[in-house]
Amino acid sequence: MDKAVAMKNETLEDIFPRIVAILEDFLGDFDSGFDGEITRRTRLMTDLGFESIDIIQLVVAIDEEIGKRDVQFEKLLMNNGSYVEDLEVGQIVDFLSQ
Amino acid sequence: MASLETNGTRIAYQQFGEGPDLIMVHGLAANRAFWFTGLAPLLRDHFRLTLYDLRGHGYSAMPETGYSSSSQAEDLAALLDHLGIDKAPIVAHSFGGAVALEFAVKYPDRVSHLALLDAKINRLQPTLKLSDCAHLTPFEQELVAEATDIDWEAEDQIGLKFLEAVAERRLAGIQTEVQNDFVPFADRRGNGRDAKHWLKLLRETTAKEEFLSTSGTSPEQIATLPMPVLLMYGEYSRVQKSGERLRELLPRAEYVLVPNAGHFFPARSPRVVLKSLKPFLGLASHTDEASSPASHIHVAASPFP
Repeated sequence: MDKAVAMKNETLEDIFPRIVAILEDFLGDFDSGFDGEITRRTRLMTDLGFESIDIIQLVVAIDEEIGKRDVQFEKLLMNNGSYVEDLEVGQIVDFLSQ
Repeated sequence: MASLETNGTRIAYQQFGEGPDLIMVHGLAANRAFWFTGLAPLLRDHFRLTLYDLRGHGYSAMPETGYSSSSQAEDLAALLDHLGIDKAPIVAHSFGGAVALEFAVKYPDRVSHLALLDAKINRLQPTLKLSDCAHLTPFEQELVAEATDIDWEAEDQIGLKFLEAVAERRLAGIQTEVQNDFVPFADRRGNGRDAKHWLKLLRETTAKEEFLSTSGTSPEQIATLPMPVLLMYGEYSRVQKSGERLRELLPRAEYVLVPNAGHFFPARSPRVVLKSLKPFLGLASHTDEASSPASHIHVAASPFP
């Protein structure tokens, strides 16, 4: 089964831990000062120290590792031509589950 | 992650969208994210976009050397080889435009269209002093007024100095009061990693010296470019001199002056860029543009509706 089809069959519960694993990989690469548990309410920028390039790279990672192809992530990232103020992990999970 | 090991470094890239290929090259102290405020989302329905981080920027590696525009043109060549892209249009901003210009001169058969957005070409504009700047953005005015430890009048490369000073202030916890303007490193949410990364690049590699190198392609070589060229410059941009020199060398190029715009108009006003870019790239455009003269000079619509 191809990855995209596999993705469609996944439930929210399946996706969440995979997103957390990817996020933890990112955190290993930069000193965010975050040492708590990642939940659906964790904010990428305020809590994890993400910058716009990190969010874009995160989407690349999601593309590659989860197989959700060609995600129109600007719909998640942008609002009226500006970056959104912040993004919660739960918002990403919900977006990917649409 | 999508990256390529080449020329002794690692270049991070990504591709998305559908259609023929189009390459986008960002400027100094930026990264791929620069394109996401508008241009990339607007172009993805027409092209398969290839975006990458210049060496020392974003998720690309930071080697000790290789930062001149001609060196980085070889990174671009390697990336296109890796992706199997023989020929494509290139859209490039600022120093990315210098990289794209070097690439186009060396590999003219690989560039179908060259769109240079506020590109500074060192060979054509070797110095940039405060006295050359007819207009300073609000944040630059603030910087000159407040950072009195810097002898601004004596600086030969004011653009790079602004980028260095603003990163230093970001890390010192000094936030700009300016709003509604594009201010590098001004994001208050992160912990200033982008500013740290930029200062590391300037201080621990040969990047600073190489960014300013004037050893690039000669005016005579530039004049031989065979592909259509679009030159877009901000009305208030301090690198307009590069645009004017390019226009002299490339009389068939389309030259667009973007009113009320500074250096960062591709991020601030992507739709204004798109208005000129679409017909330039052969895409259907709005009827008001279809009837405008095909070349030489026209003034784009105001970026601030």
